[in-house]
Amino acid sequence: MATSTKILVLDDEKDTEDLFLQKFRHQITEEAYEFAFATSQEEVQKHFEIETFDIFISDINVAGMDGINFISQLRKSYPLMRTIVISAYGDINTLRAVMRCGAHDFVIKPIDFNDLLDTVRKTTKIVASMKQMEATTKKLSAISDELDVSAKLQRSILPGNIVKSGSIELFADTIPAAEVGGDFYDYFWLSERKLGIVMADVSGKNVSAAMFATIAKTLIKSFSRIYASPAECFKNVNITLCAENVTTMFVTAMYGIIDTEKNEITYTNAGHLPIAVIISGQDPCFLECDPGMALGIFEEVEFIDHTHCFSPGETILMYTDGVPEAADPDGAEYDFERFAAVLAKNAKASPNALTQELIKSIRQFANGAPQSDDITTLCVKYRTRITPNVV
Amino acid sequence: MEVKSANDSGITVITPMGRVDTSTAKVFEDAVMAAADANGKIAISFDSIDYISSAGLRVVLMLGKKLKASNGTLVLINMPEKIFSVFKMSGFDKILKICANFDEAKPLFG
Repeated sequence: MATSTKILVLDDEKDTEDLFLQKFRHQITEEAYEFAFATSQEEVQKHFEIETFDIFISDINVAGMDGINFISQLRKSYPLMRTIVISAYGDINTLRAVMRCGAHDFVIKPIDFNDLLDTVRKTTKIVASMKQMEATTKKLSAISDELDVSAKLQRSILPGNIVKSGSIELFADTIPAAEVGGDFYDYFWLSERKLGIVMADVSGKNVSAAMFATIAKTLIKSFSRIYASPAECFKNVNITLCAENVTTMFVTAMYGIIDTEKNEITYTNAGHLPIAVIISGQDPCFLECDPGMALGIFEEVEFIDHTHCFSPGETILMYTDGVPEAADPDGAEYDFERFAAVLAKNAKASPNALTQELIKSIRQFANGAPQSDDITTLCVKYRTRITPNVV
Repeated sequence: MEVKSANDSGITVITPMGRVDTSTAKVFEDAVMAAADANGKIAISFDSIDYISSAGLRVVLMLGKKLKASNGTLVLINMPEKIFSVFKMSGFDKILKICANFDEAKPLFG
């Protein structure tokens, strides 16, 4: 909707008001311009107490020499308002001073109304573009605020990134892309000997994705206490997410329970990438599993539990697609081959060191190309049979 | 990214070209949703895309839901192995109709 340009005119001659109303009658009728009039600085102040204006037209004699301060003051209070001064020929020095202190344009007295019309028209255009610029700036700052909120939200839902307890050494990390995505990891002790680990990736970006991630993470953790089987847990998380999901967002996730007494991990998959297994002296492999389906899409999905037994000193890695799909400047992907090679080379390293080497390798490959997706990893080294001493 | 659209035997065939990722998913979404408003019989051909991210998968799912609600039909065709593996990995091959090519897809539109 086009809004009219609001103009305040300051002149002590009463004729001026009639003259403006007469000369601008078409624009007033068409609601292009809306005029207010004042005959003193005090009246101007009163007007500003009630409303703001786009253009301030002032007779230089009324504003006077102290009017220079007056105009300069108004300009500071209303940075988007444009000021036009009306001046007689003889006042060239005052005019110069007024222009220096912030007036934007001037009209010479006796007023040539075509000139005034032109000047007002020109100023209106400037006002319009300034308003547009302000609106754009506001929009941009709202977007960056949103990014900031989602970045904070995303960080706030992650637990710490190191666990060292008995047979388990865990390191998790996430490197968010420029636009915040919806990756998250989680881990929680279900009992003295059982540790739950989760890796997930929400489709989409920013606040909506971060909120969906928060809901999914909370559901998985809560349901993990109710359902001992990862597949049962995901089945119920999925039903709950589907019921609430109007946005067609979804989350791919892998959930495993490490049993430190049985030396095994029971895991289930919801459309996520397979767990990597790294054993020194062997080629890294990816644990076979039923893909299940991403959570939040389709209610009637059955998930399947799989079990894998640990070898001593074995490392497992959960990750998101930000790892294999990291791209170089030509768009080529990091891919599983490079991924597997780095894992093989660092099979004996600690989870922290292995993760750092992996990130370093991805960075080298990307060669400065912007990171388009979050890169999230959760790495567990399984050492011995010792029961953890964590409650 | 570009999205081509053509009509064949009363079926709208949509062909996204290039990469469907977070930055281009909106273009893809607008194109398929507009097509679905005009015609309930839609085939998406994947032979001209290099990459589809989860944001792209979401668009396909949204379209699938929309067409299902309006008794329309969506069939995905001409899928290269790499793109198919993305659908399989996320489990979406179980709820979306995927055919080798247009001729195979035709009977599904009834």
